[in-house]
Amino acid sequence: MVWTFLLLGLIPALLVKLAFREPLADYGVRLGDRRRTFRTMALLGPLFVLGGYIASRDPAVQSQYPLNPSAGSSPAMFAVHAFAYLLFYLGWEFHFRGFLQHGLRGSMGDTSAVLVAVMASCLAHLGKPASETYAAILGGLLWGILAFRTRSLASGLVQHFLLGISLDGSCAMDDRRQLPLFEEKGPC
Amino acid sequence: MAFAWLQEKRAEWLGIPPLITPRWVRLFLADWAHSSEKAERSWAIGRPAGRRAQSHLRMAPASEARATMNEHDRWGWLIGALRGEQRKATIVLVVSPLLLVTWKYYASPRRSSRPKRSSHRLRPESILWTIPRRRRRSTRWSGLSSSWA
Repeated sequence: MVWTFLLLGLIPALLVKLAFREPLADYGVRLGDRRRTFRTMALLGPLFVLGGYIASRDPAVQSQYPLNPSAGSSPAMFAVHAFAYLLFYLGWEFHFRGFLQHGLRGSMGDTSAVLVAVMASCLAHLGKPASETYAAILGGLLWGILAFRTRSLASGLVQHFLLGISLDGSCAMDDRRQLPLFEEKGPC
Repeated sequence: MAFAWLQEKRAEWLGIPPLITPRWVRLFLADWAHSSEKAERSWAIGRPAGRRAQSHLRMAPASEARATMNEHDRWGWLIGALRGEQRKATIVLVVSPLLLVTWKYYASPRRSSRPKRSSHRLRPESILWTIPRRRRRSTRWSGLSSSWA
């Protein structure tokens, strides 16, 4: 998770500051249109929590999440897991919606920049369950458009984080429920 | 040129207005009366014959000059990709795949190999991983078919 933050978030951020000499605010690291940001968070956040719960019913998704199998062992462990996830999504969102999308906006235009970022983020999901990879196309489009409309990455970041945490929480709870499924007995 | 560069840096760092800038110097260094740059652009001089836009306006540059222009034309796309507005897009499109591939192969989080313990995902090989090797025979599993339990 930390490596994701460093590779996808910190290195591009340093590139923006040192090579492009531009403020990170131009890449969506700000609150932007606050009213629109908070409104979309409040409207879409609960939907993504529900979406995470529904997705966690899929056996293919359950076999992949939570990434840390011991995340559901205690509330404290889950809190640590959630913090690590936040770092992961910070890096992820900055790379696709900030660095890639905002970086290409000037030369390609808004639509092409969003579509290139969607293509890249969708391909980065390869190896995950098919439902998640297809959903990444829709999510990428939505969060890409939101990043431009709200002039901020905050709304997409919070929604993505809520989706991930809800999914992992549901899978972890499901794991806990199913723990006593097998038992060990003495030698035959 | 060096003086202009220093002036520009002084302006950047200290906020003092520059006396002259590199762009000014470049502007006045060119002998515009004898520059054929505009003609090269509009008449496509130096390109292969099939690609010339306006053959009736064709000029006949010396062979040496033609070779130089062809060379420029060959690498023009690269020079253009690293200049102006295009520079940022080029860097982004080169760096991003590098970072993503590195991330995917070396840093992307994966679920550890510990298998889940639920009936619909339980497979013989995953159960074997879960049990310590020395106790495999002495373990009975509930909720599994007798064919392999």
